[in-house]
Amino acid sequence: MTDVAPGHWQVTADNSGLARLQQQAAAWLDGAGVAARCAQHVLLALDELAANVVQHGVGASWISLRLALDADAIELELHDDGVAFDPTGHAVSAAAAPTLGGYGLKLVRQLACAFEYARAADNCVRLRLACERD
Amino acid sequence: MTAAFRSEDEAQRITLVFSGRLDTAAAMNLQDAVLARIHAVAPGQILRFDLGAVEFVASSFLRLCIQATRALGNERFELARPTPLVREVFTMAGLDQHLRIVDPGA
Repeated sequence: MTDVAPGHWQVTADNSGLARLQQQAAAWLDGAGVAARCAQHVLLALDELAANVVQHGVGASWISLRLALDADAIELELHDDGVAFDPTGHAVSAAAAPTLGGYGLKLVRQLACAFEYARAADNCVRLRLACERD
Repeated sequence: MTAAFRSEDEAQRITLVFSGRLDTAAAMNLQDAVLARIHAVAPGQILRFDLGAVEFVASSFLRLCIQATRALGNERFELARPTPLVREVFTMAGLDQHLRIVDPGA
């Protein structure tokens, strides 16, 4: 499982870029033999984080993604060139009644076993997700 | 698989039958058409989203479900036949406690 080469892609920060990231990541996960449920979790976390950049990020023109496998987890690293935004510090609604938004980061936090943000030349979000192989 | 939906209209119920991967890009593409169907539901009708052929949902689709239940009330909106992977997303979001999920084939 660890002999699978990491995948790396860069797309424009728009809806067509989101769709391309999903397609490319899905193909890589399939080729790596990642179990269907784990692959869905990775694709969901990716979609939510990348959609955050496209829908709420200010000034982002591109998003890059790196996926890598180790013994028991997948590492997902997402970069964008928008203004600084730390999704790990963003409050998630705990309202009893359903709200209209806020589900994306709630899902990401439940899916990830580690969730980190760093800001250097760009925004960098790193996730680790538990992974099983078919 | 490309995401799509078709509408099946009956006197008492409108069913939107979705298929494919309802990721953010797909949900955004379908959003205006789905909202138009939500607002076209007549008094006395219920709206069902049939998810039996849906492989994946993201939070953008969950938001459409919330919009439907807000517009129609919980008694007049239901989700049908989600696969286990799709149902898991509603559960993680906590929405399985707030949205009516039915299995008409059971």
